[in-house]
Amino acid sequence: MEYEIVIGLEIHAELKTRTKMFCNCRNEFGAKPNTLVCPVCLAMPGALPAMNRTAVEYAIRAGLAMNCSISSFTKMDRKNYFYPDLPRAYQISQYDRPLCYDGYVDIDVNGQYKRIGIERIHLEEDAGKLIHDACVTGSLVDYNRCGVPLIEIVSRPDISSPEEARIFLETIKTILEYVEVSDCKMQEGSLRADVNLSVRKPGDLLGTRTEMKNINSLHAVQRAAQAEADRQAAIISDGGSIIQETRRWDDSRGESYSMRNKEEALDYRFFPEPDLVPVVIEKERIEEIRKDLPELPTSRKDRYINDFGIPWYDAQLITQSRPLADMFETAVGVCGNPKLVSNWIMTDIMRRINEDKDFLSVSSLDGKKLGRVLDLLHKGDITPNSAKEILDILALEGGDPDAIIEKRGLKVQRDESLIAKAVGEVLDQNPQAVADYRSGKEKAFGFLMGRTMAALKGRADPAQVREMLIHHLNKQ
Amino acid sequence: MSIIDMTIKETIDLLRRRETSSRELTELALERIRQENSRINAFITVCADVALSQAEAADKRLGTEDRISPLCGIPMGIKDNLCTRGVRTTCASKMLEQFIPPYDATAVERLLSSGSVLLGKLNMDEFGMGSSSENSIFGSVRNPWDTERVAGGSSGGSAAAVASGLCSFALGSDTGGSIRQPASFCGVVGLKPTYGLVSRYGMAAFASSMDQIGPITRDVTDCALVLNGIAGHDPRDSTTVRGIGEDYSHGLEQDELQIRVGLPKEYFGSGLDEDVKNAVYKAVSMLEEAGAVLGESSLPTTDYAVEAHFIISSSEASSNLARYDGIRYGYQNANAKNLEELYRLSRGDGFGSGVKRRILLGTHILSAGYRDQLYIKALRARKMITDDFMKNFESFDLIATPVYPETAFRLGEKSGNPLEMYLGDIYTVGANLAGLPALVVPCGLDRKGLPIGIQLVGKPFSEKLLLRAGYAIEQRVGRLKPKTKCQG
Amino acid sequence: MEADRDLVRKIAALAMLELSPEEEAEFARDMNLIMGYMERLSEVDTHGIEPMEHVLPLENVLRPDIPEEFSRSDDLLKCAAMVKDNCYVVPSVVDAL
Repeated sequence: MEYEIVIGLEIHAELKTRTKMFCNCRNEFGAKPNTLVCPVCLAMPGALPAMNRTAVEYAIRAGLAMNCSISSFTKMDRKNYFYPDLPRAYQISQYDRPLCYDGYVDIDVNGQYKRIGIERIHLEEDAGKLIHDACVTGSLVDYNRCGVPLIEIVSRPDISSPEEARIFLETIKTILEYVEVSDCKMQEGSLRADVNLSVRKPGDLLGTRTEMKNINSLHAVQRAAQAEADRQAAIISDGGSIIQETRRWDDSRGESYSMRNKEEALDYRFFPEPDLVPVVIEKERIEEIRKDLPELPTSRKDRYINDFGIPWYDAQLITQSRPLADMFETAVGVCGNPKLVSNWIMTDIMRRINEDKDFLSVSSLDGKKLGRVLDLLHKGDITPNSAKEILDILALEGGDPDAIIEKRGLKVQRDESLIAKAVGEVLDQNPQAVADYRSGKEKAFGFLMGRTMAALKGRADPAQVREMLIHHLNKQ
Repeated sequence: MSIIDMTIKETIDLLRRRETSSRELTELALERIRQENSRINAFITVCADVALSQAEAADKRLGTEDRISPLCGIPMGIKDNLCTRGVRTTCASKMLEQFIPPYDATAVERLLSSGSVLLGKLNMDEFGMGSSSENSIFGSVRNPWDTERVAGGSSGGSAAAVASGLCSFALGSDTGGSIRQPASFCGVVGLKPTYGLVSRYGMAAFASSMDQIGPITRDVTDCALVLNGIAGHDPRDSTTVRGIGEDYSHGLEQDELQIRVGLPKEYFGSGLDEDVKNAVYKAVSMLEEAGAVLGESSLPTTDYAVEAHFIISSSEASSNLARYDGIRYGYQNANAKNLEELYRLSRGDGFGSGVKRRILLGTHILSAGYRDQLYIKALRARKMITDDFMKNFESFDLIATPVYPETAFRLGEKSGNPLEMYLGDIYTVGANLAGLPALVVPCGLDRKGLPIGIQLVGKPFSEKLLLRAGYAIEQRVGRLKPKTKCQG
Repeated sequence: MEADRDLVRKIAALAMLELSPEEEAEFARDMNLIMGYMERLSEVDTHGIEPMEHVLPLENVLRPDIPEEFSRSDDLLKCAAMVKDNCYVVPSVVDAL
């Protein structure tokens, strides 16, 4: 029996504001535990929250990038539950008036667009971090992350396969990076997803769903969704029924397990946060923020495919990272040859990124320099080997492409007398090969060509060398 | 009369003429506390060293600075739910018995920067929950007028300390009458400011949408001076208003009151003690003497104000007090074997029974199935109650009412009956629900010799008018003094 | 609503309050008495009235995104009962609640 899979994702993204959501503590990853804290984020008696303006604006940017409507009136609510990472024992979140609602994103499933609805995006705060210390008979709590602004993006249950779930998350991640509101560092937990999933027989009503919380890699989302779909299908096929529950996904074991009906005991007792006043957003402000948005990945990708003739796969990969796409466009602007740039990005630059994921942010090799190198290559002023060598130097040491070419003498040799001299020397030193060629052995030409190019240290136009070589061979 | 029984206004002149010093005042106050506190039990913590060094600093300022706050050098007491940096802040609870905050409440910080001297922290009902100051792990506060009676609550320590000369003024907090009822019971002046006038930052919250910090003083002029010291926008409290800055002490003595005063009939009905009713009427006639026009008004929503207040305050309290878990500060039960026990035992032991009752009821009210029917319903009722007041203010500039149905009751008299205790707040909760300013001024004694106060409720941010009207009453009533008061 | 000890226990679990059997009985009694009274509110006709969440007409109170360090952060940890490696210590939380 084939089952349909119905998936909705809840994605939590930390906003990269300078300070926390409700206090002036720095929003930073990796500091010594409990050094980025104050009475407000530790919920000391009488400490009150004060809302970060930038967090609100970032959330609106994210909402607009996901085609959401922005509420003209929004407010914060308290979500009450006890857990040691939540000092107030309530999370300041949004209940019935989310900041953004009714949006969508188009995901690209192997070249086919599919529209996934965004039910809402709301603002809230992150919790602290629990460290499970084997040395003490307990857990340690670090509140540095506590109060970092978060948006929760809730999709509609429009996702119908584990692969789509991964692609959806990847799409959201890319959009958030493009609009520069979140670092989306999944390994640091600044982007996490909850997977809500149910299965049903085609045509049936929605089945009972389960929720898997805090999954923090793209592939884990796909694996978790697949495993859960299989688990549910197996239960139903055996005549069993699904229990609505929260499950924990263990990515290393590749299986999930029940969190003992934790949800059942919870009753969040939402009510409006009395310590904060409503936020009213003017239409003009929304339009200002909208105008300020960059071109988004889908639109860029379509443009690269349609206007530049870049293959789908390349365009998809390049637009998945804004810095990479920016590099691409800058380089194209300099050298005017999109296909050449895309080829080099897909090979040379991707190799460097695979070696160091931060390559684009730490290296001084930028789109302008790449464009210049490829422009010279295109014009035949340098050879592909030289281009590679120059990019290596630019990546490791920095500098200016033209200066490097000058200093290293990488410019293609066009002086006919020099080439002629090299050809003459090669022919003199290899009489056997010359004889072979003349007796009709074509292979010998390749050998002589190689020798000549080597004598010229590779820095000559092969066509010119070839022509000269043929000329000399035929002359004698 | 000892100089520490004088008003702030009177003391300022002595300080300016260098006829006394802050050090002398502070020493006298500390001595009075040593003598009297065991009888009144107003102070939970006395910080003599802190006080004396602050007094010396104030004396230096008084000798050198020209533009100086009238509160400079004046010894004060602070209700123990307002955080004081480096000085234990307990909320009269086992939960915070050892808690030393590393920060000041904004109101306290402002007074300290004015040069006021912190004598110590004042007793109260645990976390502000109560109307008698009997619910304290440090024992009941006793009324200086009759130590067999309660001082009122929850700011009972603040009112009793000011009434018995243990400090020149005090800060209290008021969520449902907690400044006004003890002020009335102890014969002192108390003001609950308009919601949003005084920052709540650093006040351990009871019900955030109704809590306000306010002065408890010997007279109306002092009340205005202290209000000047604490009022104003605070970026750390998003519910404080901007641009409401005025000198509340200026022009109080203008006796010509061309105002209309409403007497809501629902506040003078059955259940109100005759002596209280007569004293309030008499005080109202004094306003008339000063030029006010009186009229009967009506606040029909009074009928369910206690219910709405109870539901909203309990709901908010259940959430506000959830942070006390013994992990980052406060009492932690050492026997907890797992996380759930840590929470349950620390909270079960750390809170007293009145607080637990509130938390349970508030949790119940907000829980699934009851939230809409109780909590949301109460928010709707709150709107109706507020509208009711605002309608009255179309015809009247202020409303004059009793503060409490009776004068100070006996210790233990009501402690077995929480419902009766809640119902006693009937005249005071309206101002909290509607966020209105309300001033209590002593206006007479009952036949037992116990003080009676009158409550004046005004439009939002009409503190100045309330203080002027209160001043007019005070001038005519004269100062009330406890029979048993210690003469220094 | 009729409150009994089961209900009190359920609410106490939600509020994380350990209660003695005597307290359970006392609070059940109080709840009946108090909620019985407070539920009078349900008789009030609030038709067409919006719930009032704030008494002041304030809106858009937002703070600039400028970091500021709490100067006495060392004193914060000193308030805690149990601290290790600059962290607060709690009983193990692996599937605790």
